[in-house]
Amino acid sequence: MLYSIIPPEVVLRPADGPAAVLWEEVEASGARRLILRRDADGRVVIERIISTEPRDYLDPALQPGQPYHPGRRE
Amino acid sequence: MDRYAPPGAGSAAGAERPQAEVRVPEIPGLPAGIPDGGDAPARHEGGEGDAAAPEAELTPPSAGDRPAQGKSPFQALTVIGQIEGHVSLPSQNKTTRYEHVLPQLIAIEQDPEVQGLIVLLNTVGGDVEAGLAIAEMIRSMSKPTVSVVLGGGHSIGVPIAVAVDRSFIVSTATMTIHPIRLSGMVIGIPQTYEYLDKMQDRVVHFVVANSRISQERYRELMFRTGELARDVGTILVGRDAVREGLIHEVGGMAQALASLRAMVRQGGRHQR
Repeated sequence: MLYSIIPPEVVLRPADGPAAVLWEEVEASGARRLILRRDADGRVVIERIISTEPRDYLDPALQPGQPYHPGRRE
Repeated sequence: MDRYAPPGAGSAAGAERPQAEVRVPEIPGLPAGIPDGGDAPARHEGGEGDAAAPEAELTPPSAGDRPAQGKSPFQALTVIGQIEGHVSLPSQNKTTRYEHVLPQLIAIEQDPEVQGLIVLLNTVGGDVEAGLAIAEMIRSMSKPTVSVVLGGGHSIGVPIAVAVDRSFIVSTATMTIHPIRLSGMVIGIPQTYEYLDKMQDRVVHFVVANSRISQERYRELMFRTGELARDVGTILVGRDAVREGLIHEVGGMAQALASLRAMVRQGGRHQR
């Protein structure tokens, strides 16, 4: 049940048109998760970090747009 | 903590998507090489369908390029957008998902390097039960916790804001107190009213138990007329939330972190 200042008809409105990106969410180490997407050149890059560790947001390798390294333990 | 609704996830968005978009192409090189070898990744698609994707040009693994470092003593949980419940919301919504937040809270509680939690809120509300679940988890932590309401902490964001040991609101932030309702639904049977009342009672009781506002006053704010243009309820701006007893202090990051440090020095949590 929604309890929000945004009306349900706005929250539940279907997205306008197909989005242009493909998303994938992967688990990094611990409770950290990464949202990945494929950029225009076909590279898998980091779109967003989900983490409570403030230092993650300062790590250059985890900045949005950086290539994702599947073999590396973040 | 975005959400990207999987097709046919039960939302209106899924129902209108063409069948061709149900299959989601793999991102080459990803599933087999996911760090930790953990669970298969949750997949979210934005509608690209089966368009042929070029091979990823992944940089070779570079294990040493990130300096070893410990955990920050204070972890930060951001509660933003809609708090998502059991149904994935359409992708234009920015959401906070409980399946992310609850494990994070467990990790924070258990990690000996972590001394406290700061919760940053800028939320428009969301699912009642997911919001209460997050609030209860924060409330039951043994480590010192603080919250800062930034921008807005509305609706089901209120219980989360007050679930901590010490709550703060910046002077420009707002909190909207309003009743739970089923917009657009014709309520035909008394049981529906009772169900709504019970849901609302859960929120009210949690807020009253974890702040200094009385139940009578909270309900008064909730059903006040003339304050909101299209609804009953009250908007509390910064200092108003403190004056009403919902939030402890007007303050931002400096005050919140100082409070956390003080609680750690004192070896425990504030008396609420």
